[in-house]
Amino acid sequence: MLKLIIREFIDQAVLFIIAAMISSAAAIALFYNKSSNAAGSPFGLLLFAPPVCLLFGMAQTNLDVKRRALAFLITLPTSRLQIYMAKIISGCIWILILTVPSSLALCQLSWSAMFPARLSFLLTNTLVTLYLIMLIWHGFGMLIGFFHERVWLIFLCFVAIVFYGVFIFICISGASIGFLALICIALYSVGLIHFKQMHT
Amino acid sequence: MENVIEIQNLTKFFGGKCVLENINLKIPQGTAYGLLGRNGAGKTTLIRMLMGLDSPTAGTISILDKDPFELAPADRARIGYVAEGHHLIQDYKVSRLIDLAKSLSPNWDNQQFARLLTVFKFPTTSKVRQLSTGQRAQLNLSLALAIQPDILILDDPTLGLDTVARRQFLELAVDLISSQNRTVLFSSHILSDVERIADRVGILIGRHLAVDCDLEYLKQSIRKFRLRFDTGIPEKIHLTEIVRQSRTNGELILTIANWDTIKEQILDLYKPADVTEVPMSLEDIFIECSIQQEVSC
Repeated sequence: MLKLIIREFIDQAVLFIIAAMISSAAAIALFYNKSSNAAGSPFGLLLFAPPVCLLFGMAQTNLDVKRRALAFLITLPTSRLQIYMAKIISGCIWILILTVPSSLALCQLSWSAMFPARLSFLLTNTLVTLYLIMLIWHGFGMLIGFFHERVWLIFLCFVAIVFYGVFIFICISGASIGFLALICIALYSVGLIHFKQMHT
Repeated sequence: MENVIEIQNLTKFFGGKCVLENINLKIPQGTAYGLLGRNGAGKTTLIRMLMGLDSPTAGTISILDKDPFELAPADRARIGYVAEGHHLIQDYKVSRLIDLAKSLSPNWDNQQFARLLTVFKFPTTSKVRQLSTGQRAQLNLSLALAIQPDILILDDPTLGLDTVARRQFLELAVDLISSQNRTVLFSSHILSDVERIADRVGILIGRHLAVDCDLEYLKQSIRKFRLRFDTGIPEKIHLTEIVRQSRTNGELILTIANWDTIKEQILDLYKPADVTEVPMSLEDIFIECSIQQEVSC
């Protein structure tokens, strides 16, 4: 399994480097911008994160489908579950790389007097929600990426755009963490079921 | 002997088209099974379903007593597979691909792989896509053999190999089969290869597994005769299991399956002036069987 995770890192090395660079830049900007405007950054991430995570998830699976890597991997002493789990784990790590530095910078800000006390209290909740949102879109991206027919890809991307609008509305209206976790598990499960039955 | 591969009532549709119908096959451990069939007969589809790369429309498949889709990594480690067209990860370096296969294979045999490298001599520093078709075939074969499989499944493995590499591969395969009681299932268009390796053959014709028997038995049981009649060729020959018959220049050419003394006596009743047996190779048998009319699905 570890070898499969390492394979994902190497295959997606460019995306991991980009995530680290964006994340570092955001953290530095937050660290030096000690104003109350910084409290709004998680909401900016809410808009920015879904398409980015969707694209990362799609890249992970669609690249392997296109170059028939899955057909090769499946014939090696591994299982579809392990291949899929390696993708989820590397996806989680990618999301952490993307968000942890800026989250730490935000936490550091929240301890300062500049940050509104009410938002400080909500910060943990907001960050957990944000991680779950990113995982949901990563799972959705992985599911879409398994479809190699262009018609399906276009259709599912269209669904994603519609879902994006609805999703942002639900999140702003105040979705519970439990509800988001449920969507996340459901999407990863659907992806696994599809991958277990798909022809490679 | 234990069957390591069992297929029961297998049917496969692609869209609305029936590709395989009601296939039943059992392959005991230690058998070298040659799967034959014309292009589009369903050989690759059958092998892909055995590997869990495609699912059957109906029927069951078991390999090492398990559904191919449910094989655990430990079971996979016992199966070596070479796909038709050699689907390797094209943008990987050969060395990276080898490392990946090696790291995932608990039974990886370094000595065997080194031996194969000295035989095949493919470059390990190039990217897979830079290899020729023959070199990709050699790499794929080496990866499949290095894991020391109990079952080796080869889908047209010598496709793209030159004569020397093909002979080297065949010698390795014969060595592997005879020394370690491994089961080999392979399809090939080169029937002399099949004749050299297989001890049992199956022929897919018109979506069905029309022949499934020992190679020697097949050679003994299918006979071809050239019959000359002084009084003209009979309108109809009342014999069962005629694989093929043709009439040319006053001669009747008959290919008959399951040849025995009863059929010989029946044929004598037609009083042919001259009967000549035509020797048949596996290739001749395959062609005779393949020209049969297809049965509708």
